[in-house]
Amino acid sequence: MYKKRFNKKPGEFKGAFKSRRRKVCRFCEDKIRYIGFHNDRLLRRFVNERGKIVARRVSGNCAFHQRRLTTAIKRARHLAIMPYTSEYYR
Amino acid sequence: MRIYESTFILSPQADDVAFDQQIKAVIDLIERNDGKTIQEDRWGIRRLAYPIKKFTQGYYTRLVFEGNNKVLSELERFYKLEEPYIRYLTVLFESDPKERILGDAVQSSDATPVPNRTEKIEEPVSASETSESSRPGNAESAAEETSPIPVAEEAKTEELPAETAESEPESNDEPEKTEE
Repeated sequence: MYKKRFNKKPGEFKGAFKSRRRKVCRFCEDKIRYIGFHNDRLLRRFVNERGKIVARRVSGNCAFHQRRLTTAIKRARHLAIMPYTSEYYR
Repeated sequence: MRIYESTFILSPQADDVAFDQQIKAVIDLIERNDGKTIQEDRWGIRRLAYPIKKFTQGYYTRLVFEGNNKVLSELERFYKLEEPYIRYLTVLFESDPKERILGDAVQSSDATPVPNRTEKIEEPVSASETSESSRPGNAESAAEETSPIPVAEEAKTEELPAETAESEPESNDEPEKTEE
């Protein structure tokens, strides 16, 4: 497993926006490496009302953690800990 | 020999005795193929996020074990063939920090309220999960590493305090979500 450097700063946009406001990845802050897929409370925070995974620029996650988060959410969906979409029981 | 983690869902149409038997069948299969069970973690009956095979609830169990590739293929075959196992997922075991053979926080069923949650609020807010290693509660987990313990109920209450840290930044999210 490669070493993860925490708190990489998000890069600058060329054009309309100046360098992005410092939104630190909360996983980097807590120095968390592993995101568990059993933990629906945590995972739900990164999913919108329709059950879709939230984009990185909204959630503020760094690329490393966003990837891990995504696999965790997808695993949780497979195990019916999280829904794939918002409407099931009618 | 690698450490794996297998979570499976049993059909809820059974009683406790049957659940025990079904879980034991899996453990026996692991042991038969030169595997070793490290941790057994039962979540009980939980509401499913979506219906599986027309069921809306299922009995969740999680096993951490050590095994070779033979164990894996046998396990997958077993899950696929046998009827009570309606969902399964086996992955390499990871944990943060790695030294503790405990998984992440386990949430109990939606249907039943978790009395432990009230404890969590009084706990001092810890910045990270790794700070748990300094807690006295972790003497337990150190002991669990050395001897394989079949049921790790304590894992649930121990892990929950970490949730307060993760729920803290949530209040910052709402204003930040408005698009720039």
